[in-house]
Amino acid sequence: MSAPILSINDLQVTYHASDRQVFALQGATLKAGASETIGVVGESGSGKSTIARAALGLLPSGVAEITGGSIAINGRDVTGLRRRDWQPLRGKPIAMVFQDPLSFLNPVMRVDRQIGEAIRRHAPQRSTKDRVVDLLELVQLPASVARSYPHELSGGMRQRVLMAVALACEPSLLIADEPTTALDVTTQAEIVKLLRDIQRTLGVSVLLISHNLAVVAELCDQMYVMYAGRVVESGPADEILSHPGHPYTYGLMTAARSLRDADGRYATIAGDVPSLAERFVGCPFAARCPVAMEHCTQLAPPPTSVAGQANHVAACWHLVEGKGRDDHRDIAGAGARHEGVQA
Amino acid sequence: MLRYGLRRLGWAVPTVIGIVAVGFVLTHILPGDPVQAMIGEFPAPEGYAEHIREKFGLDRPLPVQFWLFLTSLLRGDLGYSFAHNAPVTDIIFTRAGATLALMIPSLVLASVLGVVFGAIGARRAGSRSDVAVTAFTVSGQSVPVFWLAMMLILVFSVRLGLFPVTGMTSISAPESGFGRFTDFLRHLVLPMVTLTLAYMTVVARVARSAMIESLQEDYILTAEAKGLKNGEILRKHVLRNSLPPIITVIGFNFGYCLTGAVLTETVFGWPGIGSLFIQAVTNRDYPVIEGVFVLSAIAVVLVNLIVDLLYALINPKIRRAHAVA
Repeated sequence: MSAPILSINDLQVTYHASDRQVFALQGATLKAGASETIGVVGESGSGKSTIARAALGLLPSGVAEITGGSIAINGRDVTGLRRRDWQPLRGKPIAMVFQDPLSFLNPVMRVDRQIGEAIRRHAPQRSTKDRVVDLLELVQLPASVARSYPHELSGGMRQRVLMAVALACEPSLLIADEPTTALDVTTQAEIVKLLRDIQRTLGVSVLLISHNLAVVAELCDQMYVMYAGRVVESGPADEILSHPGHPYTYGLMTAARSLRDADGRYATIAGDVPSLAERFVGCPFAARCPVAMEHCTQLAPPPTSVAGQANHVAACWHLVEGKGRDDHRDIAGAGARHEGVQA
Repeated sequence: MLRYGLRRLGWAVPTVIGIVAVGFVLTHILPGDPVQAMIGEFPAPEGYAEHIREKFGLDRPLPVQFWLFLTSLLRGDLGYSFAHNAPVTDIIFTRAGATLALMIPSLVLASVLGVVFGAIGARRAGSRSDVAVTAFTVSGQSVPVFWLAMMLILVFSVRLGLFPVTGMTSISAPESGFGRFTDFLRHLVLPMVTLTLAYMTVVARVARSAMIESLQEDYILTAEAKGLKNGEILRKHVLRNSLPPIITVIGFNFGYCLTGAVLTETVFGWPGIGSLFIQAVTNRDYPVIEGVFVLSAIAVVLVNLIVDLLYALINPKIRRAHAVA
């Protein structure tokens, strides 16, 4: 089996501000193979976007530092690459669609030039004019958009233009960082449908980053749930949605369904997202977890398979203990081992 | 766009008249008497001063003088210089040619170099090259122009004998042809270097901060994610988005330079508008002073108009706003 396009292993990223540090990623593992749709779900500040930026070497220089783990593209380790060496890896094999479609397009450049320079960069010999029209057609925009400036387009159209820019690079993996967040609900649905169409027609892999569980559930085969800089659960999307292994995933699903409780209130996850100003010793969700046990705050739970599925993994002590004795897994030993990886 | 240009041009007329009026009043409330300056210390015959005053209309009330000045200005007549004994229009046109010959190359060079230095600094803010550029531009801005001019003369003309000390042409130079041109170039080098340094540092500082700001915009991330090279990103994405403040400061330089090179022209004995202005003030040569006011008012207004039109050309949003208006 060939190496995955993108393989992120136990990645740790720290942002340095003048007076404090933010441990944005505290051990995140993620893989994207060929022709896959992968979803990354989590609240704001869970480290979703940091993973996306790290995958293209676009972490703000001088502020962000990779303090552990590794990133590999097509089997090649790119963790410590300098900014200049990243440049040939960007766009192809991995391209990116950003969140806010207005600010991520150059305001003084016509659409055809912004798409054209991506085409020229990755296939200099091609005639860009026809290709621009083809790409606009692919994202279901009329050819007339080519001569427009970004401010003349609607939000949904701009998001399509950004997708055309990314596809112009002919990537094998398209990372879409919250591509529907800035749009209204109807347009969101159109963009999700378009992403699925593109994935099917071009066979390109899509890594969708979203806080919207419904969007991810609809589009993705594989799913990663992130919380406070860690992947807390991962596996096939339908598996996770039918048997969530982590209390946080369960909470997200309940909140997403907008189930009202007996008093008619919407279901929420109690408490706030924890500050990332320090590394967690135990489970980062313990403070908000309805079923937290005493040692949850002291020892990090190891990734454990859920419902007997080897590819569905969650990090929760309940899973460990539910089958821990069968596995002969010593709780303290597992915790110590996991901490050893982090240090 | 055309309508916008014409409307702006319409506003230029009252602006110029306003500047000229203020200049006229300021000139006439200056202490000193032009007739006395003309006659000098020599004993003059009885009634001679009065005769001159009458001849040049200096005995009339100030509003009448201003009215006469304005009406002849509309006919393209700037009056007659007491000191030069020649029509002001002729003097100013000759001098303006010399000033432009010095100014245009200096300003073009200053603008191009300023943007290049700004880009070097902005590319990696805080790096060693950025610190070097900043140190260079700050010291360039702090050094007085006249001191720099004199140091250049001292080193390159007096010690090394590479360039002439003052003037625009040598008496010994050929009347015409290539020899005359190279003689002019040799005179041009030092004043041009002085002015280029003075104006470049301003452009470089503005360009640097504008580019640093543009580099932090989100669309730069898109450009990087496309895999574009750094140079390409700077040229195609950063530069154009940083142009408005850069064009403003370059435009300001152009408007200011026509009269603002007073010091440089004086030190190098360059026969331009700047040195003409200084002489005119010393001689209380009212028509020439006013002529220079008119010229610089027109220059500043024109440059502002061009800058505004360029804004619209750069920014499609402004363009559309004018098309609708």
